[in-house]
Amino acid sequence: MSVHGELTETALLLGRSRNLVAIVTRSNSVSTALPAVVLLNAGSIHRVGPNRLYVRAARSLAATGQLVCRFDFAGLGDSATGKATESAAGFEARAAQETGQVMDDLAERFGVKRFVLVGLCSGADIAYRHARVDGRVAGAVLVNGHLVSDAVLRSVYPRARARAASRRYLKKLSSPTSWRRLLAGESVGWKALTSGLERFVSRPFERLLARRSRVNPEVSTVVEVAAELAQLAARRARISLVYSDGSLAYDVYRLTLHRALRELLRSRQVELRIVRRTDHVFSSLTSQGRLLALITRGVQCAYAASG
Amino acid sequence: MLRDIDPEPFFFGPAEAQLFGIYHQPRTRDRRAQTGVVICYPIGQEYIRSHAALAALACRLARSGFHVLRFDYGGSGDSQGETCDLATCKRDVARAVEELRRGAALSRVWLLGLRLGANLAAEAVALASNIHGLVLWEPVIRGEPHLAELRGLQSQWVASQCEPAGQSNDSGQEILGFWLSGALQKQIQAIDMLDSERPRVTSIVLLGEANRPSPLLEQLERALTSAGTPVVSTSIRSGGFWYKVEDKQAAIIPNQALDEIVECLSTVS
Repeated sequence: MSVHGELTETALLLGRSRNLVAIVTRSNSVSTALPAVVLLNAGSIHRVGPNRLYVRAARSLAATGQLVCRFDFAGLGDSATGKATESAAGFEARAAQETGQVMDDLAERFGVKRFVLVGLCSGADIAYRHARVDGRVAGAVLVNGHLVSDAVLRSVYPRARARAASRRYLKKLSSPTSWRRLLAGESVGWKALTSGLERFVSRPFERLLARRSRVNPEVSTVVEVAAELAQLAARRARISLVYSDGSLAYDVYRLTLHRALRELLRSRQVELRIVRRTDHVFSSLTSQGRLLALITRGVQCAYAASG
Repeated sequence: MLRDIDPEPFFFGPAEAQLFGIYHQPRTRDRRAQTGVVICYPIGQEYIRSHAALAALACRLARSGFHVLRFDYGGSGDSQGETCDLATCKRDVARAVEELRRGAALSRVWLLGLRLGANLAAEAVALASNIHGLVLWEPVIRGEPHLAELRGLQSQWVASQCEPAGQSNDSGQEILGFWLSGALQKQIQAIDMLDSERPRVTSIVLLGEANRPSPLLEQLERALTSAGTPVVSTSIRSGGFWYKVEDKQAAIIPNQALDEIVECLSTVS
């Protein structure tokens, strides 16, 4: 156990096989009336999160009275694979089950009853997957998640990549730094410029492709996801969708869910936030600050909505 | 198979500067069961990128019969604090050595460090009692070029992602997602392993990249050998998994390199 100031951090082994390494952060004034926050692995990065973001998020949320848990899924970070890992279930299904087991343990040890799940990248997808089936989830902050099925993802991936590349090259064209590099004779700039122009020219065709996507079979899955989000909203679970414009996940969202979620976004039970000028893992310190603020807001709104 | 060793997470150290550690108990009971290895991570973005590989290495070492302790320096990972400082990190290495020695009742302890972790391991020998040997994996031999490399990677990242240049002022600079304070920059700048006191240990293993031979690493080997320390120099292929580059988001585990390290350490220890 580590005590610093008002905060206490405890290292635990959670899950049915007691193989999931977790850190629980709480303050002296922790309130079990507030939903506990569970942070889920961002891709294969261990529970400290990209750029140690999860540690800062946990300490900041715990300082406001929330109990916060960060843990590693089996086989990731510090967690041993455990028996469950050897089962035939896919990673996401297994990780979603482990999320439920960790929630059970937190409920038993600390008496919390409601939870807010926070995840980035695959962590967002797992949070969403579990939120659908567990009534204890009062909200979720889904950062750069895809949400749609693997089949849909595979289908839209080439278009999402083209879309992301177009945006990036257009950004380069409007960036003084890129022009400075170009004028200094750096080949990266030339490549960017030529590719950028190429993409710029190809944009109308991409728009055409995007329009065509509205009539292909992936639409049914998109409608399904929208319906599931609506069910979560009906259950008073508050969902925050956060995307960084440098992430491919943002383009996947725009090509799949965006149109289908228009109505739901007006309801305020589902919120959409775009963080501009940053990459998938929020590498810049400025964007990290913005993401931390959005996570805090998402968690607080979930509490208010479930209240 | 990568994480089949049950980890034991815990906090240790003084109340005002608690460190997070993971202990891996040995799987076999042979002569190595009396030997411990403390793994010293790099810092900043290199820490994030090397965590998976070093966790996998710890499991393999434990499977081969070593007691292993991995830990986070103050201001990094799960440990207390917000920022890293090399002097404090060095003291943390010494604390981790004592923790492992006391906890597992060991007579022999090796330090294994990657990048700046290797520098910290080498320097901690003077602070910790009776370190048997060192494994220095791609140590930062001169600080100035290392800082220049980090700044170059930051510039490349900014250019490739069209992101803002990042925060920079008199008190420090943003490097690959982390704040590098002015004090830390000065500490890194001052690193010169060719001109520092030779660590007093029984044996040193130098690990370099097979695809990227380093003249400085060869100079370090000569300097250590001339000081009378037995040095084993090995080239491995790890692919530089600790670098943050575009299109390489995933943590990479260089399995063959890790096996070679375990074999090497099993032989020399």
